[in-house]
Amino acid sequence: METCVEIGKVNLKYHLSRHLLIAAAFLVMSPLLISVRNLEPAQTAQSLEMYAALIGIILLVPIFLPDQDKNIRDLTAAKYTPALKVQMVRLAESFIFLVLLLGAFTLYLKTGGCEFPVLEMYAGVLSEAFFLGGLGIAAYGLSDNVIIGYMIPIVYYATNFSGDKYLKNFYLFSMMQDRYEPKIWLACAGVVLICAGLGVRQIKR
Amino acid sequence: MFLSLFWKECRQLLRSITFYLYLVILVLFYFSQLSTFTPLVKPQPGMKSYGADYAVDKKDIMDGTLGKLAYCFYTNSYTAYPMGFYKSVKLDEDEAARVAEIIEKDTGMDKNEITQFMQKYFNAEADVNEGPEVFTENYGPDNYDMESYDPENFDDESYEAQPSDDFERRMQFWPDIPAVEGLTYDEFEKQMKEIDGLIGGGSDFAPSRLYMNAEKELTFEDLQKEYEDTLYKDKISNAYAREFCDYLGLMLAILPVFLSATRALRDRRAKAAEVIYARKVSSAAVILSRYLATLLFALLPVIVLGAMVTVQCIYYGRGLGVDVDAFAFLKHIFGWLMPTAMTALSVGFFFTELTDSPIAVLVQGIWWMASNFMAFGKGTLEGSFGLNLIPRWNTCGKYEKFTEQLPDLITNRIFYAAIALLLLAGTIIVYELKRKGKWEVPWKRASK
Repeated sequence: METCVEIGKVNLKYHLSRHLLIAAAFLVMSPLLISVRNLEPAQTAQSLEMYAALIGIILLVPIFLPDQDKNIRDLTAAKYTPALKVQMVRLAESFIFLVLLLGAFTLYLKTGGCEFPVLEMYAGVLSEAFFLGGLGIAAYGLSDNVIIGYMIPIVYYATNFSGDKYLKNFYLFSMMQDRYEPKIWLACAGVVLICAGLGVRQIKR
Repeated sequence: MFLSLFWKECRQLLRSITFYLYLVILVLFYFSQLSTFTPLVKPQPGMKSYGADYAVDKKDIMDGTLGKLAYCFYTNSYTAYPMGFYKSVKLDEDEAARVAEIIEKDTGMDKNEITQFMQKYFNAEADVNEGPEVFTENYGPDNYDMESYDPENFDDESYEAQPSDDFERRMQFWPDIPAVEGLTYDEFEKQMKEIDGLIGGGSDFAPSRLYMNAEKELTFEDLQKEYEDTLYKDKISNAYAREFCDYLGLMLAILPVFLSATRALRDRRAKAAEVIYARKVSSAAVILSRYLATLLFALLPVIVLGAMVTVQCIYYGRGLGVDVDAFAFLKHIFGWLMPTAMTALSVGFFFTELTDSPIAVLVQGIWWMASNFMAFGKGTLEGSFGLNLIPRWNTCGKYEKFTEQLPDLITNRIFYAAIALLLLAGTIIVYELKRKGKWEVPWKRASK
């Protein structure tokens, strides 16, 4: 447990803080870019799904970034603490901040006069953010390239603008259509993708 | 030296997974959106309706806008799309009073008369056969919320959507209110701009959007002219090229940043940066060779796709006995799409060199999102180019309308080409400073 705390502290200080700042700034900027006051449920869903959920990419994808350098990876592989444990701690830390930031943003929308089912939409946007982050982690783990880790979820996000004809239960903007079942699919897919990303990373090591 | 660097960069790109991913995504996107060649629709005489388009006559625009303003005032609900996201605004008493003042000045109707007029209009529409179908099809009871709307006044038949002819139904469901004699368009525009300011911007009263508040019925002659313009002035391929650029522009505004960010980070990752810094070759040669190679590879697949459609246009034109412009796609790719790709690439190179991190992806991602939403927020995907990174023209044809807006498009493209070159120059400067040891990323300095 102490080791995990130490890993978390170092990760927060040297790596996660930058991404946390960017994610927070992204949400703070929201009034300049999107509507955040007096929205009806469909419009609130739009702000959450099309904007806020993107911080999942910002916070979750970079969990392998500290080990980008192969020499560092070889060094950490020789240590007693398994690399997987370190990555899980980073993932957990990123996820906690994702939960907090999205929670704060959802509450901010509520206090801004938006009418919407708070818990359902919060769970929905969290699922979407988790899925996008998981997609990025899987892509990063497979390719060992952080740019590809960002590219795949962003391109996936862009394809959703064409509608849900092909994406069905993996359509990101379902809450705008008052549908919540796809969020369950997205959350499960996120878990699978993260496991795949971590697994591939261990095998490649 | 420069040429050998350039070819080296090209060979690097051929070995890059990011490039092949870029290729696959671009091609998949193209085939999902535009793979089928859709022939032009020749208008037939004697149809019930030829649809409608936005009005161009200034008097029509004033009358339509005043009608919409009166409707918004009546419901105290103003819709705005400042960044493409829906925003519903309710004005406070002072602001509403100012709107009433402007309406009275422009129409001669005070606020009580406006309220009575609106009530009478929407209740009267319920009794007339063709009235309800005007707005129940597009804005039926489930689609809008009006205090004066009374479902009891509608019969069952009026709720059913009428089968449409081949063209769009009416877009305008508020009545025109004639402007007073002597009101000039400039004065009117100024007043609408003030109202747009009260709403917070991005509303249908912004000067750039006023034309969308009024419609005109299209005739067979209008559509026939448009069809002939596409055949003989656009020479078919130019019309298809514009639509091609509309779709591909969406991808070229984001995908190239991944190519440039990958390339810029490669040296650091391979620990080759310091070795390259020590070489004789100039920073300009290093950066330019990378930039031009990446630009070439970003545009090559687009050129190939454009060539495919050109061939389809040529065969189609032969069938109709019409000459086709064989270079239309090439002209459009270099004039329309290239500045967008250049900008995305330049952002990638500049921010990656500046920060030694992939933050360029975030910067360009936000810019791409904002551009997309702004286009939707304008309410039209046909023109109104402004200074949008992604100029939209989501239609095949409309030669006359495009020609009117061509100067704006040219200004837009020159602007973005200049931005791209400025960022490229910035990249060269940063690279040179790094070589001399005069620039270090702030957080790396702090961690030492």
